[in-house]
Amino acid sequence: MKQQLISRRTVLTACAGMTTLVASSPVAFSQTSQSEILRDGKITIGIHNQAPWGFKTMDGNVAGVHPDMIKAVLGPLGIKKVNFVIVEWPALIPSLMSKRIDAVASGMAITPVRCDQVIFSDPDLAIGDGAIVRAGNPHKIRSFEDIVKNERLRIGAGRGSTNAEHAMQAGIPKDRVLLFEDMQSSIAALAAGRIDADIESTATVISTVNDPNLKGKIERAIPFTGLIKDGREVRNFAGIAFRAEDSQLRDLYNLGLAKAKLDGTVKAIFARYGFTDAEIAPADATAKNLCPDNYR
Amino acid sequence: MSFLEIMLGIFEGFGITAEVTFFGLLYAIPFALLAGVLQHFARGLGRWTVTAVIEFWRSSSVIVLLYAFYYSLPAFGVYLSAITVGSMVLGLNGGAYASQSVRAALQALDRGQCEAGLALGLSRFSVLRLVELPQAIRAMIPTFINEAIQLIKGTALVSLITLTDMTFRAKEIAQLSYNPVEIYTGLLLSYLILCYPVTILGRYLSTSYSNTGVRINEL
Amino acid sequence: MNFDFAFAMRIVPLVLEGIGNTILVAILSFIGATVLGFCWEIVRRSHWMLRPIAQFIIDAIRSTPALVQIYFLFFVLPYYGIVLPAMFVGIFGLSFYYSGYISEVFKAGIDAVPAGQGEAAESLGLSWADTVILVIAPQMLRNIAAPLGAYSIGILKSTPILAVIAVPEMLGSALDVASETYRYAEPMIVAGLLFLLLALIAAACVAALERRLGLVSQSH
Repeated sequence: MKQQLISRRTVLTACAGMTTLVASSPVAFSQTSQSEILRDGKITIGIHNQAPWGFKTMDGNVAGVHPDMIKAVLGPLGIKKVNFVIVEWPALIPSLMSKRIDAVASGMAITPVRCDQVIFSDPDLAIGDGAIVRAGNPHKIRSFEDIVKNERLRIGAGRGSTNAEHAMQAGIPKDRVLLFEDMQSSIAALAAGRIDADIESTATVISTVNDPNLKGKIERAIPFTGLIKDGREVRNFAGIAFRAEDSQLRDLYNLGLAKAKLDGTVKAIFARYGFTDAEIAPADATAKNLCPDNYR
Repeated sequence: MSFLEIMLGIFEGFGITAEVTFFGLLYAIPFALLAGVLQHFARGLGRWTVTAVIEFWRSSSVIVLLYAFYYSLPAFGVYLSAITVGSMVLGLNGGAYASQSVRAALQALDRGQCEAGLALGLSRFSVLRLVELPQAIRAMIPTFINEAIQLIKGTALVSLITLTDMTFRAKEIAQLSYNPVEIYTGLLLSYLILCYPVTILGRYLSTSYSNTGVRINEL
Repeated sequence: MNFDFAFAMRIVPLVLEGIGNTILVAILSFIGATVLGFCWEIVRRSHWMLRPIAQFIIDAIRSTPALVQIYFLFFVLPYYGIVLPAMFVGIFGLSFYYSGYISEVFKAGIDAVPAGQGEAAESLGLSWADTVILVIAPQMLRNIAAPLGAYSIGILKSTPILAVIAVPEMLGSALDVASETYRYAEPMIVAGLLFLLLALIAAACVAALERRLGLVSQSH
């Protein structure tokens, strides 16, 4: 068959058709710049659906300490519409960087490694690490030390969380740490005996053990000592994460945050979610001195 | 949450499941036809190129490809929505498999059909369009139905790139209120409700199209 | 462009850490799926009452996603006292899922052996067992070799879904690197290319194996 079977024109038309199809597929994400956010008064935040940090309620609205902070701080600045996207924890920063969300409002701790990729607002909460164990705390887990010493113990933690980092910095070897995408996976593993403790921030621990479905199966390990550095327990300073190029938005948020701290709005939000005064970030904790080398 | 509430919650994700399936088919079927036909007729460098493209989509692991496209493209400045990534990856992967069926169906056709068409004065393209493809497509219907089922099941993977399909909704509900037995049973049931009828249809169509009348070996 | 090639090259050995488990899980799942698939087919043919039940189970397995079946096994089994390490759950899950498809392969393979073969063997006085082992089975093997080979590669490409239940295979290694450094682009592309390479190499090996064993089927 020497003739041109399928003319070049047909092939090119087909390729053009496929490309049009790709280009015109529903684009359902934000890809907005900070100027557009401020101009249109709309922001899309990412949450990882974990109480009390950022979660979706039964009736479909967003709740949690950081979504409430966004609304309280950015509302007076004209940003009235807060859209939210549920993203798994390890996917929050990548989603922020690929412009699928404009801010991470889900209790993300400020660390130098994260500051390499994104910028943070000043912290509002300082939370320690806690542990969830099976009812009765059979292995008597009261600190990272206890876990390091007992070589048969395995722990779970969130993939990409500072809790996992602290556990490993405290000396727990990597092959005894199982990383999970979300709490329901870690709790399932804990209840099944695949892990002996789940390391999360204290706020997450409290919220999880309060689930009536889990009554009698798990409990919070009290007392629990986390990672000790320079004689003090290391705490996670939580803030809002923005893209590196959105520094103007971040600065505006910081100004609003300072105001909200002074007029009691922040305290009211904290009280709503059960945070105590001891968990408020001290005044001298800023994003700048938590990330001294790469603050921008 | 009662089981009914859980099922309703899971089915809230049906819209995304349907959307990704629909757009996936829009990618899969044209790609399968185009690639299968091209691979059948092309020679030399053209054939090598088509084969390479088909093999890339066919031999890659779908879940890894989903993660790769979703997370890596932005680093190259390409911003695609999650739905585009999901339907494109699932569709082109399925289409690559189906293209092999297209090619096999075209190869299985009697050469006499093509020669008779040419003898009648039809152009080669007309022979393809009017004589060969209609016969080949009848043989490929079971494959395309299978593709649709694979797509519907494949949409479960898009929950991993944060699309709120039925699987994502199930995990969302599990975060609110820990109840794995009811939630994951409900999820299995949901996919069964969607895919089982299509599976039965596919099996019925493939047996009715392959009537050989040969006695089966009773073991 | 934000892609760091140097970083991508650096993490290749880190991602490759999981390859041992990837291959192990694939091989064990394939064996499991083949054995289970064969059993389903035997059950389906054994008794007229069991046929619809077995057929329903096979269709049901093929109508639900592997990911959801794995989630179910991982989360629900412990409630009934069955707690297995994640890798066992993964291997069992993949075996169960693919057994549905492989039973169809056995069905087609056995059906394609002409009935005359069995009748000829019977008329020659061969026992039932000898008929199956010496006459039908070798021909069946020739029929099923190609689809089984294809499914073995398919199983290999499905192993990454076990990353969601924390099995330490290659995608899991890539996700570990990504979540530690918060750079997702490079690990995901490295994982994608490595899996593609692995699948192509495995496909070549399977083809070579089929040729060596003389199991290449006549129709192509």
